[in-house]
Order: sequence, then structure tokens, then C-alpha cells
Amino acid sequence: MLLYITQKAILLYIMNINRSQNDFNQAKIGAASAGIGIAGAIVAEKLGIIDTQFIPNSPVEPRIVDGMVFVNEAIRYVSPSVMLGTIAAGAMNKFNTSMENRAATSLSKIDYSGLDDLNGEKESGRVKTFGRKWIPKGIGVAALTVCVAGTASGVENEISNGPLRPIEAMIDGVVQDDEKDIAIVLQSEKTTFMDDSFITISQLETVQTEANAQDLTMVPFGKYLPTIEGRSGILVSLPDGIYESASGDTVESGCINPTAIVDSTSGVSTGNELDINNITFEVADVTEDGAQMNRDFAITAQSYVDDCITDGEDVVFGAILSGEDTTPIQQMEFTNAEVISEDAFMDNNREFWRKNGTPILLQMIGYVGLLSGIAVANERMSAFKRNTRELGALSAQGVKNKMFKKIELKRAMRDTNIAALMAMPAMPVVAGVFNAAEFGLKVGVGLREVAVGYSVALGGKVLGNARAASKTLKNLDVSKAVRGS
Amino acid sequence: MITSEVVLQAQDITKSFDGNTVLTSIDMNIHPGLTLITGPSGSGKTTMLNVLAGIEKPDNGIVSEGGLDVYSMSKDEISEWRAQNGYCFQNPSLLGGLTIMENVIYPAQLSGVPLENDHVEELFESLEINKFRSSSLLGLSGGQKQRVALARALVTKPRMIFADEPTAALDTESKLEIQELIKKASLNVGAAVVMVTHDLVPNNYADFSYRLVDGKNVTEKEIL
Repeated sequence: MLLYITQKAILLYIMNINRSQNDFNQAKIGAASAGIGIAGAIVAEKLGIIDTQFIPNSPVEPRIVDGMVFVNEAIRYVSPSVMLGTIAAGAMNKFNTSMENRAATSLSKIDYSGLDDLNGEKESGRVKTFGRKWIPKGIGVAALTVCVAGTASGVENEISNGPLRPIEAMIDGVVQDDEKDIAIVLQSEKTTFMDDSFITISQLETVQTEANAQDLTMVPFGKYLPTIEGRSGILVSLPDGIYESASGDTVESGCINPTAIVDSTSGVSTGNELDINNITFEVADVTEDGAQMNRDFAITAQSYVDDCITDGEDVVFGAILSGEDTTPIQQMEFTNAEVISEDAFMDNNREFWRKNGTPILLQMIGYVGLLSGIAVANERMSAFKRNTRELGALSAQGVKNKMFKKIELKRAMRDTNIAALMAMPAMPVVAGVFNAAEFGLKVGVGLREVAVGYSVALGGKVLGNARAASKTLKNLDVSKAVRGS
Repeated sequence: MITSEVVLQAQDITKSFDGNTVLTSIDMNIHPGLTLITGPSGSGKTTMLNVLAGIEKPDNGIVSEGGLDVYSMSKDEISEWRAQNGYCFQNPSLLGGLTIMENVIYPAQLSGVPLENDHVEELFESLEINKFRSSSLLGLSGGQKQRVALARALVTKPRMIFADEPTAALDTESKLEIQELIKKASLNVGAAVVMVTHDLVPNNYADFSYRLVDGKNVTEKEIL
């Protein structure tokens, strides 16, 4: 391989020998660099050091995770106010008719570009020298930031809330009246859908007695994680009678003609056959929006589970209580069982998934914001350098540094508004690509996601513009600038 | 002996760049009217003008107006002082994205200097740029752009105007035009003008002149 690379480098050398000295040097440097890079990587691979991690097995610090979950939540709640407030500030600015404000607003819409000499040249030579066309425009960077940060926030939301869909589908299947108060019986109040929970029949009987006293309905359910069509799945079992009324199927014992209600994500229709743990089930009905990312979802009768899937253990995962008011039963104490509100159960599950996905995606959003700020600062710095003479002229005429900063703040707000408009059509497309690539993923983009992207981009632009302005203006030699040197 | 009122005084000004002394113990009094600073290339004319204009702090010496040392002011105060004066540069440094009117009034507005509409209108008429007021700078000749720059310098009714070779890049006809306009317009607003020039000026064009040679003030002359 090394020999091959060396040969290639020599070939490139010969091929470029007739070019200009500058091109030739570029080609030579490029070929040599590529050769060294690839050879170095091969050696590192051979020595087995390439995959050595610098910080292996870092312990997870729960407080950091909790902090990130909190920060992410704060960003998602605060961002709409930031976005709408900033847009409102821009709109209200039109009512500020002071000459100073109007001038600052106009200047924020253009760069400080001047004309290089007195001969009517359209673009100054300095623009060409600094190669403006190659510098990423602040608006483009901000649009990319809005798109990436906003979509990342949508992904975070989906990863945190998507796993709640099977639970909601299960509850919707059991509780007919939406207005009823709902509670869940579990082994402990911290149990999530990803944990095991074992409620014995005798425990259920105790809870049932109390539920009857409170005029509540109780429906026990099982939760299993089998393979459905060869993929990871969630299977919920309901008492045979309830399943029969939901599916229209008559349950037979002995795993004869088992059926299941299956989510549409699996791509099946009523009457199709479905493989659950290598047992063929017939699809009795199809639900919508019951699956989470990477998991098929199905509901079946407890008898089918006992006869086809498990060895007939005499336990269930939990039970759903519903009625006018479940509060009294939630306050009762049961041996080895807890009754918690539906909301508390949902929060437990949401919290579980948030702790998995949020820190990663929040870091992604943070890095995008940081990179955006750096890119924007560099772009503005470059603009200030190009237009030092004009800035110097304005400064010589008494324009204070704080006015330039005000102009840059206005520019940041305006650019972010434009960037958000540019990014908005792209965000659903990016989210769609995520959804298409990951089975069952339903990343959505709404006002909140746009607002998160907007806020991150605005933060990057404000900091970037402010940094560029303060750094340049601090070192601005007005005398030198107006002389154009 | 010049006895006229002094509007700006520079005393014992010394300035070096990277160890190279450009100005050595210069004294200069600016009187009402038009003052020229002349001298060969590299004699320190522009540096002296910038020192007078409050944009180049001298290493030594004092620039004072009415007894107030300009360079002892805070950054904001010095900006406010500059905003009361007008500036004309060799390159007018106009902003390409603005109209001519905006180029004239925005620097003053950004500096918080109130403008009088009548004065702005008169200025545009007298400098013959009124018909371009809403146009961009593209297509304007050098002389026209320098007129715009002059309007920008005069729009605040400044007490002093500092002009650094404003006609250097112009053709002969435009040079004479701009020179006349600077004199006429500054007289109209009652501003003292300090102008650095390499160019020949008409007889009796200036009221006072200083000639610098090798960073030293060799002559001060009142032109009668």
C-alpha cells in the first residue's frame, strides 16, 4: 500500500512538472500529504493503537445528565419566547422613528462596503483580495444552524416521547371514556415500561376489592418484548374478554388461530399473517401511532400469550384503573404494589428515555451553536477587515463603538430572521430523512423546534457579531484606517 | 505676526511610528478661515492633520480647543468632539450600499448630531448633487463623489473641517471645482478649514498656511 501511494505521489509529481511552479508545488504538497496521512493511518491500524480510547469507560455523572435534561427542557420552553420576542422587537423597531435608529437599521442591512476609488468601480479590489465569495455568509451559517439545531431538538423530543406511544395506545384500547381518571397498578411507583413488573393474581384481587369499593374499573395487562416479524417488538396482553371486544376475534385456548391487533408501522393489514416469536398470528385489526422507534407493537389476548408466548406464569405487568376519581385508591397502601397516576407513569417513562437521548442531542445542539458563533465571528471579522477604511471614516466622524455594536446586534437579529425563513422548509425534509432511515421514528418539526433552532442561531450570531465588533473596534486605528493602509 | 482668533491649538506635537519620528515639536494654531498644510511627501502633513482632527494621538504635546485638551477626553467624549467637526478624506470612503442622501446624513445621525432639513436641502443644491440624492454611488464621477463627501462633512454645520488631500485623485478641472466648493461651502457654514494638499491652489485661496519639512514646522504664513 505504501509503495502504491509512493508511486501515485511520483506520478502526480511527473504529471504536474509542466504546470506553473505554484500549481506544481500545490500538487506535490497535496500528494505527499495524502500519502503520509494514509501511510500513518495504516501503521496505526497495524499497531492496534487507532481504536485506543483516550477516556475509556467514563462514569456517567447523574447530576450532569439531570442538568442537561433540565437545560434542554428550559431551551424548549424559553425558545418560543425568544423567537417571538425577537421578531416582535424587529417589528416594533419600525415604530422607532428616531433618525439614529433608522440609520442604524439601514446600516445593519448592508455591509460597510465602500467603493475602492473614485472611478466608479463596482466592487472594491479589497473585496477581491479577501475573497468574499469564499467566506461563508452569516445568513447561510445561521440557516444551517437553525436547521440542524431545530431538527436535533425534534429528534430529542421524539426519542423522549416516542416510547410513550405504545402505552398511550394500550390505555386508549382499554379505557373507553377519555374523561375518566386513570391510574396504573405497578410493582413499584418507579417502574417504567422498560422494567419488569410482577403483579400476582392475589395482589390484583386485593387491588380489585379496593377498586370495586371506589367504583373503579380495573383491567390487568401484560407487557412482553418478543420479536415481531424478526424485529424487536412490544406485545401487550389484555384479558380475553376485552381483547375480544376490541378485535372482534373469539379467543380460543391452546394457541389455536391466535390473532393480534398490530400497529400500522409494521406495514400489515387486517387478515395478514404476522410472526411473533416464530408463532404465526393473524392480524385482527390495525392501530395507528402505537409504535415507537425500532419496535413493532401489537396487542393480543392474555390466553394467546399464555399459550403461545410464555409458559403461563401467574403474573401480569400491571393493571389500569379508571373511573371518576382514582385519587382515593392512589392513597391506599398495598403489599408489593403501588398505584400511581397515569401522568406519573408517563413522566417516569419520559424521564427514562430523556436520560438516554437528551444529553447527546443537547450536546449536538450546543456544538452547532458554538461552531455557528465561531463561523459568524470569523465572517464578521473578515467583513470588518475588508471595510476597515469605511469603519475608520465613520469612526472619525464621531460614530461611537457602541453604535457599531448596536448595528451588529440589529444585523444578528435580522440575519437570524432571514435564516429561519430559509431553514423552515428544509427542516421537515431533514426530519423526513431521519424518519425514513429509522423504522418507527416519527420526528416532527413544529414551531417549538424552529424556535430552538432560531434561538441557538441567534445566540451564535449575537455572540459572533459582538465578538467580531469588539475585537476589531478595540484595535481600530482610525488614522491608519482613513488613510487606507 | 498672526493675531486672529485661535479655534484650535497644537503645541509641541511629537509623533513617531515604529521609532521613526514623523513630527517633531510642532506648534500650530488654527484660525477661522482656510488653513493649508503643505510640504513634500513624507513630511508628516497627514499625520499632523489627523492629530489636529482628534484621530491620531500624539506621543507628546497638546491639542486644545478653548483650553480643553482633546486627547484628555474619554473615548466617548472624543467621539462626540469629532462629531462636531467635518472630515474629507482623499478617498471619500462612502458606503456602496447606501444612497447619496443616506451617505450624507447617516454618519451624523449615528453620532446623534441633529440635522436641519433646510440646511441639508441647501447643501445638496449648492453642491449640485440634489438630482442624485436617491441614487446609489455607482456611476458617479470622482468629482461627484467628492462633492458627496463634502456634503457629508458640512451637513452638521461643523466648527472645523479637516480635509486630507481631497482633490488628489481628481482631474484638473474637478480639482479646481472641489477646491472652490470647499472654500465656498465652509465659508457658508462658518467652519474653519484645515486642508492638507499637494496640489497647486489658486492665489489667495487660503487664509493661512503651514509648511512642514521632515516633520518640522518651518513656516507659518498669513495670506493677506
